[in-house]
Amino acid sequence: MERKRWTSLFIKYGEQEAIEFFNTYQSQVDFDIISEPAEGLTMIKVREHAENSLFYIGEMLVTETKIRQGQTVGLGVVKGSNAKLSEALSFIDLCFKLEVLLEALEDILAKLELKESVFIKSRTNEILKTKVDFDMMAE
Amino acid sequence: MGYVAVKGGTKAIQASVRMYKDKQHAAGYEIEVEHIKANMNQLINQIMSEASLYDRDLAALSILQAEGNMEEAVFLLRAHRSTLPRLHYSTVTNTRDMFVERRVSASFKDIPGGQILGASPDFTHRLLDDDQSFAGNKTAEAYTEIPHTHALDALPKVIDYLEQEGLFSKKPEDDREPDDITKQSIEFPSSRSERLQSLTRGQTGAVTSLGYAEIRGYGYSSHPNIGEVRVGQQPVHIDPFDTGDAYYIGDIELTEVEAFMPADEDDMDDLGNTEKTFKIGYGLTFGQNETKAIAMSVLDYSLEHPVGDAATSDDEFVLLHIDSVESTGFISHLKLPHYVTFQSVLDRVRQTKGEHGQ
Amino acid sequence: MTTMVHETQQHYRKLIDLFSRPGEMEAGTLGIPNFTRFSDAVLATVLTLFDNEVSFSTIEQGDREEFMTLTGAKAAQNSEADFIVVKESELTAEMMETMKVGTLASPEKSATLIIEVEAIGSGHAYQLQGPGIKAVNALGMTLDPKWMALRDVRCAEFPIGIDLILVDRENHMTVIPRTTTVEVV
Repeated sequence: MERKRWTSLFIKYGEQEAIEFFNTYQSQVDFDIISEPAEGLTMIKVREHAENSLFYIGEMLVTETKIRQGQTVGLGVVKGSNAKLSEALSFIDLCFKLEVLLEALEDILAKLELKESVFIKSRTNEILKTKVDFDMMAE
Repeated sequence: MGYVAVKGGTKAIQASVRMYKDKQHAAGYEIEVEHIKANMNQLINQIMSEASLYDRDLAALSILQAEGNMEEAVFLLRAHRSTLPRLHYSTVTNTRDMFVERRVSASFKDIPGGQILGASPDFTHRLLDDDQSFAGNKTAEAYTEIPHTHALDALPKVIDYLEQEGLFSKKPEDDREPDDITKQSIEFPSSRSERLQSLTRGQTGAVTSLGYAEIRGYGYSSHPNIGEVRVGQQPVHIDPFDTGDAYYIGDIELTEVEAFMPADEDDMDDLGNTEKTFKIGYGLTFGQNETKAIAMSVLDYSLEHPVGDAATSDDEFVLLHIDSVESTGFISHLKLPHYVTFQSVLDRVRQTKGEHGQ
Repeated sequence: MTTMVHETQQHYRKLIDLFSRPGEMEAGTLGIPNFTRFSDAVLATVLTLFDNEVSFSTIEQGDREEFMTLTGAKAAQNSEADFIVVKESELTAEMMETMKVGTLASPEKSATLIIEVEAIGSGHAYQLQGPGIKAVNALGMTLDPKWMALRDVRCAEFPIGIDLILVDRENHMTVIPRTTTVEVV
């Protein structure tokens, strides 16, 4: 699974699952901590649609954790102040890079994908109730 | 009289701070950060946008600490921001990937994907209602699926429609690294990236007022047409190791505006024919800040296409005066002791009088 | 518990002291595993001074990746880099001649050279004078005087110039800022 995808599933729909995974499996993988969970900023670069150029809209608060096994680095970065999730994400990132515990991760991610599709469907439906129906207005 | 540097007031200052803090805590009516976060969404949106720091928890805390004083809250957030390391830059964030929760066009009735009103105070009666209950309004409705042609995270933009109609030609992507006014002060003439960064963090009221002046009678002096206002959740990614395999780090709420400005100048096409086209003014803000985003799009246009010597066409005039911390900071510092500088003014006045008297 | 932040804070203090008193010596330490070819004090200096707002250059690919991983700093050409991390044996005249010295309006846009030498405390006898030194500071180190001659050329037009952080294999550190006049005895 693309990293973009699994990071999004854990951050949006699987915070508890990520933390539980870390608590369960952290003793099975050797790693050193490069930096403990710490708050910092990410500057957001955006494309505007008038001239199609780039500008900086501002910064967001993030929490970052970095761990490593030898030369392999696990990075966990998440919006807001969230030490636990950031730590868990750095561990999961390391697991993906080392290709360990993949089955356990894929099981969790399959469940999260289901959770996501249910959420998006109901949220979409809720939002589309506010969609204007011009045909009805003409009656 | 010679000048003597004085110090003093320590005790009075400490007592003043105590008095200020005691006043905030009227017994029995304390509120928590969570209360603000749950009920003061629009205030949080404005403050995050003006502080150019996106974090709802910190914004709520700043509001509580500042007793709801906007300029103070923005100041607190900007100060806090300066204590944190900037760990990453996002990859290019494109609002085409936004999960849209509200999207309306004032220009075209039938836009692909439709007019989606979302949550907005636009359609409410402006009558004070003393029966505010945010909790109990949700009624269970039977679930009926509403058919739709476009996923909300892939909603076509109205400018695409305008382009199809041949009324707007998209510019090729310009990937030059933007300037960053938080690292390097604006120098004039300003760059486009400096203008947009400065406008999006401008004080809401200042941006709105200047935008209004621009269209009411001091510059463009005409009515822009809002092509699209969209509000929604925008995913942000980082790719710190430059591998192309990016990390998702979270969603932020954004408001985006494209305003159509019928262009006075004619555009020349490839065959040398002139044709009237539309120019676009662009606004993008943190949080749901629709008025500010619209005003930003007007000012983006006015600075990109200056008219005569209108103040709103002057980048220095607009950009240096809309910043909340700079303008409120300068104005409010006037009340602080200026005993020495004022004495020197007085001395000069007295001296001149003396000279005239002789 | 000591974290990397505590260590780099302490290391920063040492660097400040060394920049204030050119030619004096401090010992650097590091509490995390070192996967680079450089001594621990060099890595500690890198961790202390680098973040994702700065650029650096170093010759070996593995070191480059390690510095980027640990600090988020960006790799650049010698002539563009804010920091150059190098062993004495890898120094070239071209590197010294092209590295950034800043401009009169922005002297801070110059490069800092972090050089690992064989030994500090023995070797060629250097005499240092200038701000931060009461009379003369004697400094022994193995760095070849020809590099110091090239450094003098780049530092001729104060405030533009380059600053040197020197570290040996035993983690001794010393600093020669652009304000210091250096003579070989």
